[in-house]
Amino acid sequence: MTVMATLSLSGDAGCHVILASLHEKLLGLLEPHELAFCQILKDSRDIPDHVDLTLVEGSVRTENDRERLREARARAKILVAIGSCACFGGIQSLCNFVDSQELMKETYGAAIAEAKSLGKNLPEVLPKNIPVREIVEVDFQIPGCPPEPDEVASCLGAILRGETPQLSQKNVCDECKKKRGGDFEAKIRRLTEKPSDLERCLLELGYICMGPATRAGCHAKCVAANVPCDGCRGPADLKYDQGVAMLDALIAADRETVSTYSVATMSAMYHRYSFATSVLAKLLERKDRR
Amino acid sequence: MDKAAFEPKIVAYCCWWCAYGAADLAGISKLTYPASVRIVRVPCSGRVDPLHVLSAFKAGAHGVIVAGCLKDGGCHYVDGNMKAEKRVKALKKALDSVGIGGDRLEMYFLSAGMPDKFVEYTTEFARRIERLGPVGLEMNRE
Amino acid sequence: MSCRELTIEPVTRIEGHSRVTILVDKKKVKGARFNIVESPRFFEKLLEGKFAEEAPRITQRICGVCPVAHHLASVKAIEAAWDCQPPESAVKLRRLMLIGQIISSHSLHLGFLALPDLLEVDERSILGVARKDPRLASCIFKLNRFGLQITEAVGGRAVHPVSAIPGGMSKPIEGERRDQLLASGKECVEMAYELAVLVDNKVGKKEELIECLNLSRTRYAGVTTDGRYELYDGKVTVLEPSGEKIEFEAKDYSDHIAEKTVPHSYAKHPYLHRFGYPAGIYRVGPLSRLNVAAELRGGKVAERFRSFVKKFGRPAHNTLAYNFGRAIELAYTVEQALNMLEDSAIEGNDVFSTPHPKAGRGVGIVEAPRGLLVHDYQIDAEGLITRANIISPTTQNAPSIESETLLLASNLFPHAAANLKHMLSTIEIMIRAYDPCLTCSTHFVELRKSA
Repeated sequence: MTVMATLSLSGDAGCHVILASLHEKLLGLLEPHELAFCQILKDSRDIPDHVDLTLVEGSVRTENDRERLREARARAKILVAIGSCACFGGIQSLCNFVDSQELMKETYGAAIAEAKSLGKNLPEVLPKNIPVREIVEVDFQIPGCPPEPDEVASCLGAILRGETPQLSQKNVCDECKKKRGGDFEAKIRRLTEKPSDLERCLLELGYICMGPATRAGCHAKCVAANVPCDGCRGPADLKYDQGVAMLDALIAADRETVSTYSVATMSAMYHRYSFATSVLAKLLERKDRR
Repeated sequence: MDKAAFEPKIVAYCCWWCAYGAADLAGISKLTYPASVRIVRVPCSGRVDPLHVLSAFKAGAHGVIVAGCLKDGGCHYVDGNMKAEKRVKALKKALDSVGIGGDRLEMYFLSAGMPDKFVEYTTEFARRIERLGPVGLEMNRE
Repeated sequence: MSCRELTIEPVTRIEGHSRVTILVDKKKVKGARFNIVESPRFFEKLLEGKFAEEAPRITQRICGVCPVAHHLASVKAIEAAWDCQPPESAVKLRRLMLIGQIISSHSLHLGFLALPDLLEVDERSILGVARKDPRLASCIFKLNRFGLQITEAVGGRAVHPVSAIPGGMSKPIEGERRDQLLASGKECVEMAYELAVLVDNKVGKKEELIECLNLSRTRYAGVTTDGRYELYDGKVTVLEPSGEKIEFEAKDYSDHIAEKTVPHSYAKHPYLHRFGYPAGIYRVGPLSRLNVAAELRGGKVAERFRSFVKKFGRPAHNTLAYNFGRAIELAYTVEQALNMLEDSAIEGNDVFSTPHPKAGRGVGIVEAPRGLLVHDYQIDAEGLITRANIISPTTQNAPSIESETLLLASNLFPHAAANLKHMLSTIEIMIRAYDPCLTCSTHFVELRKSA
């Protein structure tokens, strides 16, 4: 019998919604085991001392998130990061452009002194939004915003059987049904323009489709709905930098990559969910900045 | 920061066939090239990924060189060097956009029998980086 | 007189993190706070400099339980700024998607979060509900699935849909998906009304709890169209305690609604500024929607509505009535979904008309499952967002949750003596009734000098 726990850090609960949406499968998965700690589904207050499997949703944004994560790691045999927030920092990492002290000063304005007194009741916001694996060691990752329900079920099932979960090593283009001809339009096209040919590859048509740089497993649903992939599942291999991989693909296709838009604007296209783990984000941390 | 005390760190991705050959020959011929240049040997300049360039900057490099075979058929893998040239051009724009500056990246073409060119290019680039100083990141966030 | 703190840390079986702190001395409650400790994620700041048409996909990550509401409020705000009208077929699809969200969110709340208490199952969780009444659990699952399937069919994905773009929708609904949904819908409508009756009967018998939660008296705000029940579009209607109704357009919301920062919470407290703070506080959500709109008529829903009014009066103030209202809305929206699916116009192909980006400000308001949701954007000539303001439903309910916590604790504490656990549990049940979604409420922080 496996003792399980789920932990919610800074996120939107979407991964827990997916878990809940497993319905009978969830009950079936949990029945032989014990869901000892899950604050959204049960009346859990403290993480038990010994947990076999802990799922963590959300990134580390506050001191409280970091403490709870460390506590969970210390008490868990296996820790799984579920969802792109936990795996890569998630969409809220786009704020990492701005140091949180600056962010707080801008939003708090003159009352920053009062903001410090918030620390009495409210957890302190850390300088950057951080993915789980940069704070503690992670045994498995199930990416996605949110992850696919059948992927969650099969990965959990594998882990509970003592096996290694299998995620696709391919990219979204592999599952996409649009037709590829090999000719790329040079200019960037935005979502405000309707595709001239709904059967044709959106990347070739000029849209910023992250398919080539994103892990498969989602059946390319967004593209099937005629909207470009925005990279929510992170890179096909955890070593890759999604944005840089996409940059390389676009260079090879002689496609405009940046145009006149700023890095902040374009990061929301190339690094929407994985900015915290990107080389660019690490570059921003270089100490010899003038 | 005191510019006189600034010691640049330059990473030079050199293709095995030509650029590295030239560097080797420079060494054998007792020609000196700047100590700030650290060579990383790659099978072909076309192997250099944008990630390699950006990682060099992340690791603390102040400048990056990509050196490959002469154009017009010099590349031992047909057109790896041409692909590298395209990448470097686009990366320079990206580096400008990010605030590092595209002039901190440069591509050079030479053959294995040109140790003097290796010295000339690396010296010229090192001087450029010394002038530019340390990396500052003024991002155009507007 | 020495004081001590009673805490509920965290409040469980709600979405997001919060803490209740009650200050007591030997005899009385001296104060109470509802601390929303959920991490701020700075979505409004994050939106600055981004392509406006990407906002519907970005902002829905504010919430994994009600993403459709953000997706739609966002696209409406952009269309308002760009003076852009989507085609009728697109609006029909958006209405259907929003209904789908109400169905999935309400069924999730009732089955997984609220009913474990209200049906007094041994283990307070969906697992406990499934053990005690497998048929009920199965019904909840089917309803939740139906809602998620609608979102997937119309939006492309079950959670975080993609198809609402400025100008309309990126795709129509496919014939086979419509047929599948019709089949599910027919089964679900029966079950949804059975569930509403079950809540009415079983939970209706809990007189002590109902009496306990009969404390708040507020004004109510919701969207209506010509005074009728509405979710997607319309005027904001406020029902005053006097019975008077105040109405205003979405674009004028900031003339009426102001926000006050409080130092103990990462969420602000909105209020109607003509009445000042805290007098101007109002509630939103299922209770408010049933209060501000004209009575629901026609078919089974009329019967449920009559029973609701009989039990709670009109307007209904009792906080537990939120759950009864939620069950009624669940049934009503399943029925509406079926009606929309049965109309062949839902397969309409003309779903997009090219927008013309320009500089401007736009406001989009929809009824999210938990209440009124506002997206307000300033967009520049290049089509990039320069400023954003988002007011979520739970933020609007937060002040009422807090004042009711104080009232409830003050009433219960003197008699709680040995059974403090029961008192704290009752407070949790009250908070759960609001179905708070705290990740929605703290996506931003803006602290001005608080009074």
